[in-house]
Amino acid sequence: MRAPLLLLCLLPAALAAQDPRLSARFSREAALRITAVIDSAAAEGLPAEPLVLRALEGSIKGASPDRILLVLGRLRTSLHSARATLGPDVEAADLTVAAAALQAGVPESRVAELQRWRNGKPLTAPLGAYLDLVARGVSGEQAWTQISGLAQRRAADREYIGLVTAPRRPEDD
Amino acid sequence: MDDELSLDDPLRSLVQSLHQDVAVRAGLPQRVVRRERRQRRVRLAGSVLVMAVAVLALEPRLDGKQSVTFALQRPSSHHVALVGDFTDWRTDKLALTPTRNGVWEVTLRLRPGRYRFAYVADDGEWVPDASAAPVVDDFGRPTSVLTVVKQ
Repeated sequence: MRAPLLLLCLLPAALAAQDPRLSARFSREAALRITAVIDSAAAEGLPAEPLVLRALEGSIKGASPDRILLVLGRLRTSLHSARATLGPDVEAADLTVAAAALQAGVPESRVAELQRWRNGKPLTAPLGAYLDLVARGVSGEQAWTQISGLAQRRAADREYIGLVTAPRRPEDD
Repeated sequence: MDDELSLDDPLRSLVQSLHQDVAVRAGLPQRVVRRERRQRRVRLAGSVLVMAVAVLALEPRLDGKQSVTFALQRPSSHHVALVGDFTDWRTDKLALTPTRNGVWEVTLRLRPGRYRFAYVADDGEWVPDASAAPVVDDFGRPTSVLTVVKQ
């Protein structure tokens, strides 16, 4: 008897804290469940925005709330691992791309090594380039060799992007 | 010497009036200074306005955002929308414009970061960007990813 009463009392507070983008897209119940995942992630110091965006992405793609919650749970775990690897002061953008790299199978030790090589510079370009190379069929080892080579010689961000968007030579045509 | 002058003397009255005129003229520089100050304030306000406009014009260059053009060759389509992290995954936020030879385009200014996105053509067909890397999608629709870096 007490539990429903407590839920009834807490509901307005939960609704008030809910991201309006979620309440606009999901049923009341689904929005509450998703908000609970996001809130617990935020309580661990993880950024809410990547989780909100993934929930919105699931919604527009017609995924069920259960499927979205499953995906959010995995993303939260990856963000948590990325935070543990990179430390508490890392930017949300770096945390998100590091989480994607960990999900793609990059060992935590390599992400930490890259962070040392980058010496405070954002990780978005090198890890993004790594993920793009692998997505285009380059083996993980080969992609890492290219990325780590650039990182060790303190390459500029555009050089990482150049690996992925290298101009085609005339003989390629 | 003036004590010797009678107020009834027309010549003296004239001289007095001339003196008064001089006294009035003596106030002129103050008025000129005041007018000059007013004009300077107006000029200063104008230059502040010009500076504000200049800062506003420069602001997009200072905010770290980069111009990114999204383009899709889709001659058969009647409507193409861009959806992604930068539209909160809404299909009604960013419509592409048909340009030439069936190419649809839109240019955005994005902060450095990594963005998931896709195109939605006509009545809901999801289309990836052939020039961007594909991304493993958890929801069964083709999705692309773009990394924007500071130039």
